[in-house]
Amino acid sequence: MTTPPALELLNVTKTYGNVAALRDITLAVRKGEFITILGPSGSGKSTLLKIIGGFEEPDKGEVRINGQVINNTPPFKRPTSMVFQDLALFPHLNVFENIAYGLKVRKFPRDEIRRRVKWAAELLHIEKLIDRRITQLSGGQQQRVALARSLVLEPEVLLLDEPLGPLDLKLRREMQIELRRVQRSLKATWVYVTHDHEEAMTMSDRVAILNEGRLLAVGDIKTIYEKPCSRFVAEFLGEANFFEARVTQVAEGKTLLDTGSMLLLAPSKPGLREGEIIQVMIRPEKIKLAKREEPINRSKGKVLDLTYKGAFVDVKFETEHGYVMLARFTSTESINIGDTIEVAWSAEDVIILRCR
Amino acid sequence: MSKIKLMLAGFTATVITLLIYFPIAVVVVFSFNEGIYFLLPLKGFTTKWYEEVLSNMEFFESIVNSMIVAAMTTSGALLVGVPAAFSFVRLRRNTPFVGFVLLPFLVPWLVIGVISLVFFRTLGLQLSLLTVSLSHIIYSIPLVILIVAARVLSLNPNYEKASMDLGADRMRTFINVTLPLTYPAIAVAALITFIWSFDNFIITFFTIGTEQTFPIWLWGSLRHPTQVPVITAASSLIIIIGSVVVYLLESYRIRKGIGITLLE
Repeated sequence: MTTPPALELLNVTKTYGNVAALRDITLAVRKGEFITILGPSGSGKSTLLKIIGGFEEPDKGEVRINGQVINNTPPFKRPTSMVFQDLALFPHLNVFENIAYGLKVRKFPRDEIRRRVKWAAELLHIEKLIDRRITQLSGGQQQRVALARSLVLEPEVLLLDEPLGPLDLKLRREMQIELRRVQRSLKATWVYVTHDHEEAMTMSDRVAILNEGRLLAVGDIKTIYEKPCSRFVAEFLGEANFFEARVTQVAEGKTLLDTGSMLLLAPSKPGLREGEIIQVMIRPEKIKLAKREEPINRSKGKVLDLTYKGAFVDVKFETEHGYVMLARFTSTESINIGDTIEVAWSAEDVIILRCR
Repeated sequence: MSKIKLMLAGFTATVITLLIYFPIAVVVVFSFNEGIYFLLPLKGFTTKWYEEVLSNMEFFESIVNSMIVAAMTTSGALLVGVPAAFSFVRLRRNTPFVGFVLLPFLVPWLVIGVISLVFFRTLGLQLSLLTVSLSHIIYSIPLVILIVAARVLSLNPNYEKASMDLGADRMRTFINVTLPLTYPAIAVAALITFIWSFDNFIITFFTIGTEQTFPIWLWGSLRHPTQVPVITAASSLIIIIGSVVVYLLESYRIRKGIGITLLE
């Protein structure tokens, strides 16, 4: 018998009045995995976290931890712990008392409490702050205390609800790396919620993309980024060029597509029928400066705009086929506004957006 | 800009001093005046009015009675008002009940005094310090609700959620988190109720039996012109004791670092 996943959601559905917050969510999280629930605000990601933490009841479906259904277990009896968006550190307690809170209410012996708080404080480098009041801490220090307060309980699943939101960019990056370090060293199961795809990319083993209460994609971020199955997922994770095209021919694992003015060759997908209209995507960094003789997967255009981004430069150009496309080249290329450029891309970089 | 602010602050301080503290100072000064009339020029320094007050049993009894009434009123008002404040906020609904409970706040004290008297008489209750407290409680409950509910309302609900998430059930969460975070408001409500009840004359006047509270004793003494200097001495004593209490509370507040914001 295989061990059950650390966390399992089965057909979880939740509605508020007439609004569906979550629709039929099924997701399994392995023990020791760092999974990020990624979605725009209002996508239902916080609701999902609240359901796992026990603050909301699902209308339908099951929540299981280590194979055990915990639907009707109140939050104070669940082996989960939550780091809140606003941290919710107790302002009337100092750092030590905050971290020790969960252990105290669980009646741990005094020595054990001291030992565990010390362990958590060392893990998060806050030993020196242990006697401070919460109001005397900086934003980053408060994050660490909130994390320590949950970690001392050694939860089966740690839930993090966009805790890095209020930090400035530099501190955010630092904390992202710090969180990853702590999670790896503990081999703990973490569910992290954010709307920031870069944050998700930095930290997670796997990403689950949520929109309007639906789980659109689950997997490692590289696969989802490179081969998204819907326009929403593609756009949410980065910039892309989208085309509507008619399937003109399917043969030998390849598909020939016609956008009306441009021909595209793409890897085929099962179930494609000749004559149907589909959506395709090409990521800007897959477009290369190149001349190609045959009139497929190539274009020529006039540069409209340049955006310098350090190591690379974003080039917006209007093609002879009547599209405005975005390409991303290394900054060493010398291109000016008004130049005519010739571009091409490989067939495997033309992604057909279809989920089934 | 800061100059204008400074001038405004100075102006406010002057007005407050003149309006509030000058009349009080006059009373204190006259309590040491040898003459029995409230007239200038002062006749000479004496402490005999204080000696007279301190040997007056009625004065002490009235103070003790006022303390008893204030203590009973405060406990009663907190006992009803604090849970009511919590349920108001937890219901999170604008029910007509809110206005209904706050109504006594708008009823003139005289009216509360008269209806209380009629009510107690109808019930056949013997007028006593207890009836005084009951009539005070009617007025104090809305006060407690207003102060405490404002604090509970501004309390971040995530504190309680975090407590439960960390393993504390509802009861422990209330004791460990909710109560400590609400207690400054409860303390303020208790203090205001106590002082208000201690000082109240109008409602007390209607609902008291044969005993005297401090304001009632003061009012009774006023009818004897020779007693006026004794009253100034008694009033001064109360003012001095009050100042000491305020000083102790304020230094405690500052030492504990409890901000004004906690008292809202």
